[in-house]
Formats: sequence, structure tokens, C-alpha cells
Amino acid sequence: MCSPLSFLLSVLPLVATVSLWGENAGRDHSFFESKIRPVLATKCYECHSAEASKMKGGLRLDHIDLILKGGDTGPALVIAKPAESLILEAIGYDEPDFQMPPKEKLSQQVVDDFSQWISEGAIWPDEPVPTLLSSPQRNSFNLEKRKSAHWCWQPVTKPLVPKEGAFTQNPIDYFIGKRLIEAGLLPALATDKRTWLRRVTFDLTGFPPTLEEIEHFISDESGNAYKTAVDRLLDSDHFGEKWARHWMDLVRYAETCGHEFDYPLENPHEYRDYLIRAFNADLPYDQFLMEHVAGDLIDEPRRHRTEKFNESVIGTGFWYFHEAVHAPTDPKQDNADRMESQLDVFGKTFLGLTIGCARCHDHKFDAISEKDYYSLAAFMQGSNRQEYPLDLGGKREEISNEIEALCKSAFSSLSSKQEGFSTMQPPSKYWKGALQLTHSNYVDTGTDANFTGEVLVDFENGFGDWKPHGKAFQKPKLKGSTDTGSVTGYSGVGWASSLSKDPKKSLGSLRSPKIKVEHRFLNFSVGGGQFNEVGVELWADGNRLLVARGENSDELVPKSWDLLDYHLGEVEIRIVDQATGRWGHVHADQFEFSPFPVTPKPDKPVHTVFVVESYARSNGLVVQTLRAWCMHFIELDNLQSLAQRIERAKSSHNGLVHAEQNFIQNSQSFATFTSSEIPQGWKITGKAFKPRGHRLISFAGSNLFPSRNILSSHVLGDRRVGNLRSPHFKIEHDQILVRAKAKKGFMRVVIDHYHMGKHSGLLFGGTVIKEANSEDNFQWFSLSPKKYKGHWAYLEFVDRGTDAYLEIDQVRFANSGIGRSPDSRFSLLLGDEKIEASNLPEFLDGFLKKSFAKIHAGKFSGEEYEFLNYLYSEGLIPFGNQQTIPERLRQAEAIDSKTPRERYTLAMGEGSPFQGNVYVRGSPHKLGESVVGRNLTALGGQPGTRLDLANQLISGDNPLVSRVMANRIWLQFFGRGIVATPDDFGPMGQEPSHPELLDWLAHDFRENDWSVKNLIRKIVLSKTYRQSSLLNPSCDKEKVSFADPQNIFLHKMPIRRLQAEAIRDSILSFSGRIDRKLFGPSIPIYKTAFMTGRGGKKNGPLDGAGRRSIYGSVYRNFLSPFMLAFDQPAPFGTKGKRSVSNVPAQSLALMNDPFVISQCKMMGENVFQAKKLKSESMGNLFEMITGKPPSQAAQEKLLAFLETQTKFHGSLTKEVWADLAHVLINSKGFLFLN
Amino acid sequence: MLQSCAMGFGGLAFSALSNDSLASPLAPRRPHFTPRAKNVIFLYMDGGPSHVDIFDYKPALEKYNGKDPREVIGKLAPTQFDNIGKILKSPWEFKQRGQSGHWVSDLFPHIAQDDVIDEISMVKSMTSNFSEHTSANYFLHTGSGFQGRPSMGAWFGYGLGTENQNLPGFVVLNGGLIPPGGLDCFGSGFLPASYQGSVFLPQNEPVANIKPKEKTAELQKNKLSLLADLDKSSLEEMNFDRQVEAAIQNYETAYQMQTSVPELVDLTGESEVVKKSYGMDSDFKNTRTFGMQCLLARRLVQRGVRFIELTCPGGNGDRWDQHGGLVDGHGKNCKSVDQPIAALIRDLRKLGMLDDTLVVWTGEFGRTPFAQGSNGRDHNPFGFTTWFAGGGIKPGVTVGATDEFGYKAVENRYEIHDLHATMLHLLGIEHTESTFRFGGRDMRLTEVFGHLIKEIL
Repeated sequence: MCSPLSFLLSVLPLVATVSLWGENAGRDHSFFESKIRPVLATKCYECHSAEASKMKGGLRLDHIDLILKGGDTGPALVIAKPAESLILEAIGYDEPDFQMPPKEKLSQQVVDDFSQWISEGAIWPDEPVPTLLSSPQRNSFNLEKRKSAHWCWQPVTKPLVPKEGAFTQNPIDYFIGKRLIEAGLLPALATDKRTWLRRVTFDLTGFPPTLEEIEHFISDESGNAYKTAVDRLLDSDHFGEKWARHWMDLVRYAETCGHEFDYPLENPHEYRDYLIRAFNADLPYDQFLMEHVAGDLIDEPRRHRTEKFNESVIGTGFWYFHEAVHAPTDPKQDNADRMESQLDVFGKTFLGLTIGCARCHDHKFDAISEKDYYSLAAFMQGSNRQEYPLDLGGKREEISNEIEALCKSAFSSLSSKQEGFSTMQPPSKYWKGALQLTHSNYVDTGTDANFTGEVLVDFENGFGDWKPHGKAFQKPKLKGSTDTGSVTGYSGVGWASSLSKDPKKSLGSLRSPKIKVEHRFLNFSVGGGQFNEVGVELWADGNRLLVARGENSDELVPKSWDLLDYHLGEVEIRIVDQATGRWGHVHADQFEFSPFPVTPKPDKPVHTVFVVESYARSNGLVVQTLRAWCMHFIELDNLQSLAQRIERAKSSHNGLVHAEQNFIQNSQSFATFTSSEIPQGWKITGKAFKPRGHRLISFAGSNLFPSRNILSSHVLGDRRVGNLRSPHFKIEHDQILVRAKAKKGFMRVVIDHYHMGKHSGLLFGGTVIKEANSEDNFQWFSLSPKKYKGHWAYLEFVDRGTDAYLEIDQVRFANSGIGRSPDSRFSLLLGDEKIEASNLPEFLDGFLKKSFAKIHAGKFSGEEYEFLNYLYSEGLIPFGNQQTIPERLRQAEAIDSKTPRERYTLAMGEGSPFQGNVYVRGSPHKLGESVVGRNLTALGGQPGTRLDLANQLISGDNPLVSRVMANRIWLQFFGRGIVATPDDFGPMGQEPSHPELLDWLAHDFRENDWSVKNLIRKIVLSKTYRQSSLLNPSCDKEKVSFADPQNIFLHKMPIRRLQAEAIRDSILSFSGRIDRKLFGPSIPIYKTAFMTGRGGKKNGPLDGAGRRSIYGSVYRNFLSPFMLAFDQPAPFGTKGKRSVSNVPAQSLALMNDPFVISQCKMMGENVFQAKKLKSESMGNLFEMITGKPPSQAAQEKLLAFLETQTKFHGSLTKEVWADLAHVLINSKGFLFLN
Repeated sequence: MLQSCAMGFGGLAFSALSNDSLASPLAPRRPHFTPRAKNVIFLYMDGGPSHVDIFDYKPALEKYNGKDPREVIGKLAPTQFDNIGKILKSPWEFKQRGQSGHWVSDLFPHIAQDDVIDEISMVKSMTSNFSEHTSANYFLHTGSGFQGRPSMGAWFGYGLGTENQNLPGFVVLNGGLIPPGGLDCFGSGFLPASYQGSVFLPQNEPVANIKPKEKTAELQKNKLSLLADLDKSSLEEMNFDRQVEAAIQNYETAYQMQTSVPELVDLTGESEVVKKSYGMDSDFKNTRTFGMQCLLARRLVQRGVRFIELTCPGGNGDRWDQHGGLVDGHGKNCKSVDQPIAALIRDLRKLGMLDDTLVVWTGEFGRTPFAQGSNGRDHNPFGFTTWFAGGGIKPGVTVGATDEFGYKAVENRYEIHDLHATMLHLLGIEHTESTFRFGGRDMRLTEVFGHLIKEIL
């Protein structure tokens, strides 16, 4: 029964809710008027009322209707529910990024008042909503209007070029000339050949012309001289290097992540080399764009010309050259920041749009909405970052196919009558034989069981003639010594032991000399660990025949070996410790030969080869298999020992199975890999991960028969590489458990696309397993994303090749972990109630007999596969033809060994379609409207995949892509784009100086198959580009100074300073130090004394190994000061136009930098060694560096200088020449292109 | 233009450079309004000093020492190391000092002296947006948490130029540590490179490439003389292109720097008394290092350098970043900077330069009032102390407050943008007006934020 009070409480809120405004006129407003309204008025109305000069967050708090309506983040108040009211959250200062009023927290009393006010129904007097004083400033955003108003959104036209006239030879000249005529200006005269050649050589290759090239060009008086030179330069490999670097400025190319530790990016140089190849091969720009945006999704990717690997996917690497922090306390925010970098670079680079500006609000000026931004961001959310394995020479594909064929044919041959299981003798016969051959016939006489035999060694006075190997056995342990713990059971005072406090010293063995066996029994005592890797071993003829171990106890117990079969033969005894850890040691003592054993059931070593062979022959068994069975029976864990303890094993197994079932019941399945298909949404890259194919034989270690319930990364052998990625999911559990077998397998849960967890576990501990290992047994691996519930995530599994693999059975989400898994190898045996010690051999017979038929029929269970593989790995399966498998294995290994080394590129990979939301005012914690991946509204706004997006971008309807790129190309020749703001075609950028020319170029670019080289050829062969940098003498200077003071109309060629790379590369070419090698990992940057701080990398050589500047490392926190001084941009965002600064650091570098000094020294040496006439040497040096011979006047000055310096240095030495070279390197004739 | 003038180096005949069009980007410019100060000395306490152990006295920490902060304070924001320990009282004694009554712990005995502490005004409610060093460093230096923005020193150069054309306008006196984020903390971002910070190291070659490599000065002069001759012809051939002309002039500046920098760092002219006051005879090496930095800062101000930043010496634990070893690390850090800073303030005042020179002391964030592990504190961007001296500020003022634990700013909360706006204001720049068009936006040091800290004006 309900008490009246509780009834009242339960309806109270309801009452408050229904008694809405207008009905409360009669209520007491005193609390509101005294406690609430004054606070609102003084603390909130500055930003949230009709009087606010600038309304914040779209929220007004000056009337309850507006409060309930709320602002950008939804209703500010829920009546009667303070806990759900945003206003209380804000004034409570609970969330660091959502605190109001921003300046100062209200007192707790006030917060409590608000809580009370809301609880009591948020009573507000019945009054009109105040009208806005100023016109609403919010949301005057009209996308269509903006689009139609701004030039860049209009279609590219094909401007008319007249067929006749002065400038018609090259349409470029026509358009430039037209503007000049309009302005009443004349173009400059053509420059001299030398100047043009220097200009074009630097512009196309980044190098100066050599003396031979100058000579050749000047003497070529044919009409084709210019064209020939341009063709030669466009064909040069250095063209790609020069133009790749321009592109790298756009995508903020870097090789580290910056921030505190400057962690490395993965193989970024692959992208740089991709660019060089793309520009050299004149890859059509539409394809280039397609590869950048969606190279991973292209059905038929472009292949490297000779190396055959996937080129297209490398382009996607550009998305990931952003900065990255190692411990973001707010990963959603961090993800949002990274996406901004990605979209900002994407927008500016390809579209000339400042999309990043729309992260927090509709674009202030451009036709880009906030929703547009988040629709593009959805593509990022729905994609994964991966290290994509490059298949060099297509070899991996080829080898995988060959191995797969072999695996299949091996399966058919095994299933044939002749070679398969069918002709074999049943396993029970082997069992019986092996038992007979390894078990002693000695019958306990009950007599003397004491150590009374002939002592071989008793360790009382050293090791005798036994020799230690490794460090485990230093000298005998002695009773009472401090480091032996409580060892008992030894004889006398000394014994042999590997027990040590230092685990590194605890590996090794103690070996006897060869001993002739003259008695029937060897007696000794042994203690210590129960591992395969520790114990006392008997060896003969290079075979280990028997092992005796402790039972994880420091008590030494007596053992006897029956050596009947080895009578008068030679044996060796080894005390072995190859294990570390708590029980990773062995004790042994008192080795004696005796006619009597000290234990009632002595062990017997494996028979001599002769005995095994004769037993096999007389019983119709395969010798090799029988021997394997014998060896198997001396292992610690073997079928026979399992049979002996089967009841105990079953009960412990059942316990584990029960626990596992419990766990499975209490957890949620994410994926199981039981089908021959990959589960929906899972993505595979590379050749490693394959869904099972049961009709093949795998040659990977013990995995002959690929198990049924798994997705394996080594069906085709251990050298395959690749990754497996799950669909995206929302984290809702504490743990993710992966049942897998693994060796050096990499697995992680990637949360909010945060990829740095592998570098720093600080806040992402437990989300990455760098090396998963499970000793050939299925095990549950646990990832714990506990702290990140509600976050967007996916799983990634990586097999990095040689010696690594992952076999995944299933993935579950759970709130608790699970301990040890049942031993998957024996699940079949231990789970079967009917199997007992007595019928185990017969069970094996039946199992093997039926197995192949079941495999064929696809009815073999995972447990059966596991057990069959176990039998195989132990050598216990008596194949009909014992040669088939080893032969196939040999073949497989021969093919596999040709696998090239692994090479990876940073790339994007397909994720899951993302349905997300706008982040209100850029905050990932305030979700707005829902979005899906789609193009910008102003470009059509079609939804689709990233590949669809790429296709739309290059379609004829898009007015931006061709214009933006044509403008970028133009910019590199004239120092200024037709649109002077190459990364911003929006209203905040500048309008084109020659709109018709821009459209003509853009149109021509597209018409000519998006050929960059074609466009460049047209530009550099134009008269415009051939102009002198001096004003046309007939041109009126005064007129120029007001008609075109900035030379925007190009009435002459602008003078340009060489860019950083050109300066450094030229110096290297002058000194002869230049190494013109293309491609490869970057050369670490040379660190000066000023380049200190965290994340320091290996120091590089002063001269960068003579490689071109493009091959120098770009470590964000350790950028080359020389490059920076000459305006190579820091990699933080798109930089389509480099600044050209003029700072003392430049002069100081060229005057005093050790790199410059050392190179000038080499130049001096070269001139000196050439032993030419002084005037010739001088002229050549001058011409090499400045591109022209010295004038008469200059010659005199140079000679005078040589005189002076000769006096200083004593004679005309190499130092004098170095001094001259140094002056010329500093000269403006070198540093500027005119 | 240079057409008529003879060219030479070392001030031989390089006189006719007054043409406006060639004015250096560093030439002094008029501020928006009458400034209170001309120069800034920014004392950057890299790593995050623990405000609750130095200036922000919180008796509640004594009361709740050893208690679980989640029970005492309530919900805690995620910390960098996610290893939240107990409430940790300060191991140091606090006292109120001077007329101002500023609380200062025993960590700063020199700064605590009346004639120094009363010059200082403290903002005890400063906040940052980032709890990771590098982002917080970039934010403090550039107003953005990401790499590649202009450092505040560059913005001052852009807005005001500098008085001395033979020295850079923005000098970083590196005590040995470059803050996380590296040299980009001092970069010029999208502003012209002329405004980037020049790092001076306490070493034989304090500025990169400042020492001629020639055996004698004359050898270099010979080279430069030929260079001048050749460049003169080039300039003529290129029709007196301004860019080329400026590049030629640049060599003159560089040449001058070769002498002005060594002269700057040569302290032989300073009296022993002065050097001693800065702690340059201290038995603690880092006090000597920071003492020299402070003295150099004063000398730079005397030479008209606009913005001087000091970074800390190494070897005091991991900067001010005491996640563990609080007593030892903070003890050493304070010992390094206490006496030199006190001496700097006194010296500036004595020389009549304090009013013209704004001294700012701050970390990129503060530290938590609860322990990380047992004997350290984690990063705390929610409330910490920044102080000002000189530069025409109102001295002795305390602005804002953190909560009773020193965890979050609750009263007069200020943020880094406000710090920038106020610094610009004191030097006569209206922060909303000092913009640079980049990437389609008019960029500002203060982004779209920034309020003046009126209480100290």
C-alpha cells in the first residue's frame, strides 16, 4: 500500500509540468524575483538576452519560453528536473569546457537557489517576451546566395582566343597581352638565352644549369632550341623532385608527430617518393586527386611501373601528416582537432576552400555550412588509418598464389588412397609399440633400493669431469649456502643446481663426458621445475632419449633409468636448465651405476634406432612415426601421461570450460569467425588474414590443417603480412576479449581514431597489445577500453610477417575478464565423457580413420582440427607415404623464401559508414543535427562513399579543382598566382587578376588529360615567361608606377629569390658533393647546438649525405634551421605560397654556417685540382655559380680579390679559391633569378 | 635607393639607407595608443609550477591532507597521468609579505622581500585550455594549441617593430631547456620570418652562425668588400629591385650582429656587486645560469630589444614538472630563479627601467592540489597563478581566486587569451586590431577571445 506522502511526491513533478505558464499568475514570484532574476540579469544578460550586443550560443535567458526553447545545445532547462537542466550543469562548473558565467563561478548558494527554482517548477511571471533591440545577428547564412555571388563557384568557361593577332601564338600571351594593352603597358623584351635557361632550369628541376648545358643551349641556334631544352628538363628525374616538394608544402609533409616527444610517423618517405614518381610520370591530375582522396578504394589500383605494387593507396597517406599528442585527456576533442587538420588541408589543397573555418559555425564568408563540414568529417570518422604493406614486384601476390595452389594440391594428394591416412596401421599399434619400447621390463624384486652402486659423480668436490655450458652451473651448491633456499634430499653436502637469484645467469647445462654403459641401471636424484626445458637428460648418438625432472619442488627425489638396450654403448648425461622464472631451475645429485634401481619402476630410454626399426618392420609400422611416438612418450606432456591422469585432467578441464561458458553467457559476442566468409564490415588488407579454407594443407608450423573456427594470418605461411580491422562500434563494456592463438601478433582497440597508444601507454594503457603470444594454444587476450565508454572505436589486428601470426576465433565484449582457457589441443579428448585411459588408443584409431572424410564434408569441428594438428605437430600421424609432407614442405619453403622484405606505407583504409552529428560550436560533447558522409552542398551535396566523393570532385561540374591546380602551377613560375591566395578562392581570398586566363588554363588542363607537364610546357614556352625582368625601354616608367606597380599584369618577369632547397642543392652541385640518387628513407637532419629538447632523433651528417634537400628528414620539433631561414614552411597546414623573408639569419648562414664553409672548401679544392689558368678557373667558377661569365669590370675585381687573398694565404692555394667561391655563394647574382 | 651610395661593411659608407620603402620590417612602429611599457621580459616557468606550493595558500589542504580528493573536492577532471593520489598539503610554510600582503611560501625568500613583492600583482585565477605540455606551451606562446602559429614575441615585433636594428626584436635566452614543442614555441608562424624568436644560448657562440669562421676579421672583410662590389653590379643589372636591395642591406645587419651580439653577452663591464646581486656567484650552478639570463635580459632591454623570453636551466628534476619528487624538484627550481628575478626587478627599478618594462612570470599551467602517486602533483590547467611586475601595472594587487583547494579558478577567471590581450594593451596595442590575413582569415594572437585584466591596469 502506498502512503499518502509518497503518493504526493510521485505526482508532484507532474503537477508542476502541467501547470504551465499563464496558469501560475497567482503564484508567489518572490523567490524568483529575489534570488533568480537578479542573478540572470547581472551575470547572464550581457550575452543571453534581447540586450546582448552579441548573442552567444543562440541562447536567451530573458524569458522562460526562450529558456525552454534553448540554444544551440538544446533546451537550457527541464522543468522540475535540475539534473537534466543544462543551465544548472553550466553554473555548477561540473564540466571543464562548459562553465558559465565564464569569468567567475557563482556561489554555491546561488547554484542551490537555481536548483530549487527549477525543482519547484521554474516559476516565471506572466510577461511578454522582450523584443530584440538590434536585428538578429544570428544566422544570416544563405548558402545558395553566397554561391551565386562569388566567382569561384561559377563554371569554368572556355574563353575565346582569337586566331589572328600579335599574341596568338600562345593563348597565354594573348590573355596577358590583352590586360597589358588595356592598361596601356608593353610587355618586356625577351630576355637573353642564358637568363632564360637559368630561370627554366631552376623552375623545372631546382638545380642550376651546368656549364655544359649552358654551352649546349647557347650554341643550339635551331628554332627548336627552347623546346628541346624544356623537353630535356621535363624528362629529367629531378623534375619530380622539384615539383613533389611544392606539393609537400600543401599537405604539411612531416616525418614526426611533433608535440612533447615528437614520435615518428610510419614510413612517410613512401609518400614523398610516390609524389616524385607521380610528377615524373606526369600522372593525370584527376587520377592524382582520386588517389589522394580514395586511393584505397579504387577497384583497379594503379601499379608501380616496374615494382608492381599498389601506387594508388600511397596517395591517401597525406591525410595523416597531422600533428599528434601522446596523452590527450579528451580523446573526442583530440579527434576533432585532428579532423580539422585533415579537412583544412583537404579543402585548401584541392578546392582552395577554407573548410576548416566551418568547424564551429557556418562559414563567415563562404558558401560552406557547419553541416557541410561535419558531412565531410563523417568520411574521416568512417575511415581507418593503417600501415599498408606494399607488394614489391607483385611477389607477395605471386608467392601467395603459388603457396595456395600447393596447399590445395597437398590436400588432394593426402586424400588420395596411396598417400593419405587410409593405408596406415592404426595409431593404437604405435601406442602399444612405443609403450613397449620405452617402458622397462624390470620387475621389482623388492630388494635393495639404496644408493650403493658405482659413483659416477656426487658433486662433493666440484663437478669432476662434467663440464658446464652457459652460466647456470658455476660450482656445486653446498649445504647451508645462502642462495639455495630450502633444498632437501641431496646426498652429502654438495649437489649440482641451477638455482640463482639472477635469472640471466640461470640458463645453461652441465654435461658428463661420454660414458660407456656397463651396468643395467643409472640411479640419481633430481628436483626443481617441471618444464620441458629443465631436467636431467640422457643423450646418445645426438638424440635425447630420456628426461627426468623435479615436480616443481626443491626436494631431490631418487630416479632410476633402465639402460638395458644401451649395454656397452656410449651415452652422455646432461643436467639442463633452459627456463627462467620461479621453477626454472634444476637440482641433481649422486649419479651411480648399479645392477639395481633405486625406484620400483625405472624409466627406460627410447630404444636404439636398430631396435625401433626391427620392431617397426615386424609389426608393419612406419619407422619414422614409431620413433616419433617413442620420443613423444618421453615428453613431459604426452598422450600416455594424459591417459594416466585423464580423470583429473577432465575435471580441471571441465572447470575451465564451465568458467568459459559462464563468461560467454555473461558477455556479448562481437564477432565469430566460423564461416568461410569474413563477417560483415570487417576489412582485410594484405595477404596474411584469410578466412579458413578447409580443403588445403597449410605449411605453417604446427598448423597443417587450418582450423575451422578461425580467421588465420598464416594459412599461407608465416611470411604473409597484413591487417584486419573490425567495423566501428561504440564502446559499452569494460573489456574486449579476443580468443586467439598468436605469436608476436599486434592487436589494439583504436578509440576515436587515436593511434598513438602504441607509443605511450599513459592514458591508453590496456588498449594495445604490441606482442600477443600464446604458445600454440588458444587464449583470451584482453583489451580494456574501460575509461572510454560511449566512444567510437574499432579493432585492429596486425601480422607483420616473418615469425608472427594471429589466429582469431572470436571477439567478445564483457565487463569482466576470464582467466586461463581450457587447453584447446585436448578439448576434444577431455570433453568426451566416453574416453578413459583404457580406450584412448582405440579412440585415436577411430578418430583418424574418419577424419579425412569429415574434413572433406566440412564437418570437422574446431576441436577436432586442434587435436589433429596436435597429433601432426608431434609427428604421430602415420601417413601412408611418409615422403609427401616433407617434400611439400620443402617446396613451400623454397617458394616462401623468395618473399621480399616487408615495406609499408601510411594509408587510409575503409572503415564503416558513419552516422554522426554536427558538433555544436566545434565541441564533440555537444551534438547537433545528424550527418552522413557527403560532398559540400555548394558542389552538389551528394551522399556516398569516399570514392564517390573523389569522383564528384573531378567531375566536369566542379569549377574548383582544375582552377586551383592550374593556379598553383602558374604561381611557381611567376611568384604570384593568378589568384594571389592559392589556398583560398573564397571571398576572403583575392580575385583572379586574369580570370579569362585562369579559366583558359583550367580548361586546357582538363582537356589535355590533366597533364601537369603539358601545362608547364605551355607556360615556360610562352613569351610571357621569356620576358626580361627589365621594363620594356619603350614603356613609360611613370605610367607603370601607377598602372601596375606590383607587376600583377606581368609587364616584365618578376625577380625571385631562390627557394631554400634550390640554394642548398645548388651549393652541393657546385661542390660536386651532390648525390643524385632518387628515393629512399630520409637522411636525419643535422642538429645544431640550438636544436635541443624532447624527442631528439639521431643526428645526421652536416652535408645531409650530399642528398637533395627533399630527402632530408622533416622532424617537426627539429626542423632544419637552414631550410627554415630560407622559408621552407613548418609543416602545420597548407602553404601554397611560401613567404619570402629577408632575415639576418639568412646572411649569417651563408656567411658562417659550417655546411656552407665546408662546401666552399670543396669548391676551392676542385678548382685548384683542375689546374687551369687562373682567368679560366675564375670565369668558370663565376659562371657555374651565377650562370654567366663575369663582365670585364667584374673580372678586374675578382682578380684584385684573388691577389689580396693570395697574399694572405701565401700563394694561390685552394683556400683562395674557396674564399672566392664563398663570396659568389653569397652574391645576389646567385641567390636571385631574374 | 642605393644607386648612388658607396657600399661597404662595418659602417664604412653604408649610410644612405633611410628610404622608407626599404624600411626594415623590424623598424619601430607607432602603437595604437600611448603605451605604458616598451618592452617585455617573459619569465617562462616551463613545466607548470605548483601554485599551491608557492603563491596560492590553501589551508584546506592541511585540513584534508591525506583524504581522497574525490570525496573532498568532488568530481575530478581527467588528469594527464590518471594516477590520482590523496589531497597533499604543501610541504612549505606560507606567510603574508609586504604591504601587498601577498602570500608567498618559503620557496621564494628573495621575491618575498618587501621591496620586491610589493612591485608584483598576481592573477590567481589564470586558466589554460590544455593539460598536456606541448599543446599548453603552444597555447601560452601563440594562443593556439597547435604548431605553426606566431609566438607572442613575433606578434609584438609585428605590431611594434624594435628599437635596435642590430639585434633581433624577439630574443629567447635559453637557460638550457627548450620547452616541449621545441623551437616552434618561438616561431613566426604565418608572420614573416623576420619576427621569429632568436634563441641565445649561454655558450661561446650564443647565436647560430654569429661567429665568423675566417681566421682574421680582415679576411672576412675582404670577402664582404668584393661581395658588395659584385652585388652593386647585380643590383644595377636587376634595375634596383627592392627585394635584392633589401637582401644586400640584410648583410649589413648580419655583419653588425656579429659585433653587437658578442658585445651584449660580454659582462666584463658589469660591476661585481651587480653580478653578485643576480646570484652569479651562487654555489648553485642553476642560480648562476639564470642570474646571467636575467642580467642579459636587462642588457637587452637597455639595447631596445622588444620581447625577451627566459627559459629555465636544466637539471632541476624534469623542468617544473614534478609528477614526483616535489620537494627536491621545486626546491631546486625555485632556488634557480628566486634571487635572479628579485635582483632583476630591483635592478630595473634602480635604473629607472621598471616602468617601461613589463615582467611576466608564469607556467603553462599549474599543478593539482592532490598528489600524483605520493610525492608529486599532476598538471592542472583549471586554475593557477601568473604574476606581473613593472610595465606600468598597478602593483601589489591580487586578482581572482581558485576554490578552497586551489583546484579550479572560481573568482574572476582569466584565460591565456586575456593574458595576451593585457600584455598587448600595456604596450599600446589593441589586441582586436592587430591582425594578419592568413588562410582567408584575419588572424589574431587572441583568436576571437581576450579580455583585459582590468584589475591590474
